[in-house]
Amino acid sequence: MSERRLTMAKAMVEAIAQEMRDDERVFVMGEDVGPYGGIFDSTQGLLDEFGTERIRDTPISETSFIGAGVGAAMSGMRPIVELMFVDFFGVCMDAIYNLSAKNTYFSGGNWSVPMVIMTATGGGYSDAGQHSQCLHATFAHLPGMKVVHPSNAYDAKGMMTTAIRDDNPVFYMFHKGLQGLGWMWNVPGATTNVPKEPYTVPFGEVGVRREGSDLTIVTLGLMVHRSLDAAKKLSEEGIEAEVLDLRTLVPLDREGVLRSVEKTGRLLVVDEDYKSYGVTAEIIATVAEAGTTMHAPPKRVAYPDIPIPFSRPLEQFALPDADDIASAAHNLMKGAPSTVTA
Amino acid sequence: MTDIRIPDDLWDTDETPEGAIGSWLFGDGETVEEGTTVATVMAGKTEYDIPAPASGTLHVDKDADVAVTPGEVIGRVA
Repeated sequence: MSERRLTMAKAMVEAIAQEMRDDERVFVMGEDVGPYGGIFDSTQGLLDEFGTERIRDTPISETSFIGAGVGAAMSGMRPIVELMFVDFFGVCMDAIYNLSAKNTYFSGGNWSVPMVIMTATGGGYSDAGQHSQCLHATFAHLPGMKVVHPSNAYDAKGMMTTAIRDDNPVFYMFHKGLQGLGWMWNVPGATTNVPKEPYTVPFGEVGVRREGSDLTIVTLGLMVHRSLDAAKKLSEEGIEAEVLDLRTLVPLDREGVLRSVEKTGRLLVVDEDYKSYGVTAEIIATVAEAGTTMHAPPKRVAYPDIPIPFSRPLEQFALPDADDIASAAHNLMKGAPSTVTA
Repeated sequence: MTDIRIPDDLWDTDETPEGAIGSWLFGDGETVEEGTTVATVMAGKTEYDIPAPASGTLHVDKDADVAVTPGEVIGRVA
């Protein structure tokens, strides 16, 4: 029997539909989640099965509908609220980080906020600086909510199911370039075999996407695939990279990172989010604090600390790619010091 | 050998003259089963699933992003 392969978008939709059939408290709201099916297909087809009461199109006011999601969750529902682009968090951040993330703490554990906020991230398709950011660290920095970021369809379904069943707020970030959209580019590795039955993927466990003995590449999301491309090139030159997919930032599998780095003795961290104060720094700090014996100082490849350009050549130049990762890995193997850049 | 053909009436060509292969869910040379979605085709803002017409080995004739029209053969199953 051949596999059943789904794009990441379809895998997310399947998880939402299965949980909605099983639990009438689960519903979806957001901008264009109804007839349009989600601007990045994350709710495609759900309206036909569940109707407008449970698949609710909202006005363009993240402030109100993310806030309404918090209220619904605290009133016994299990809302999935879509923030169309993560870049739009500015107008609704109070509802996210002061309300959803802290109300359980503020109430001494008497109230839970079982809410999923799903949101599209990432650039590479010329949508400019306010539609192309990743902002992983902006959310992972704040206590009180889980932050997850699948890199393929299998994880996308299992992590969505885990997120919906979690009694805590879960910030579910998905990269537009991995959704398998016809009008976007193709990342073959993101479209995977997906079991039909419901299943969960536990939070807080790295995925080892490639085993290797010479260096560890720690990454997430689209950059998992760019790193695997780089690892293939490196292998042709006799360098074997281990590629770890973090999958979740909160909780973070520090042990999983340390296990690999203790084996290889070299660490390269790759992230599409801004370089400074980000995931790359957190991973390097984790390894430094553990006192792991290293063959060379760690390195990172990330998006430089500049806005994301609209101009395609400029954007493509600034985004990390497989060549950037392979080149950093070469420098790491040589023990060359990092170039200090913006 | 069975052709994988885009159905003649999949979309209205007066409105949308041509579509494009969105993606192949299986690669050239992989084994597929009859009825499994093997490719998606985009026309306008709509995405259509293209199932394998038979079980066997997939041959891709039109790569992702290539423009296609209804009735066109985009691959084969042997």
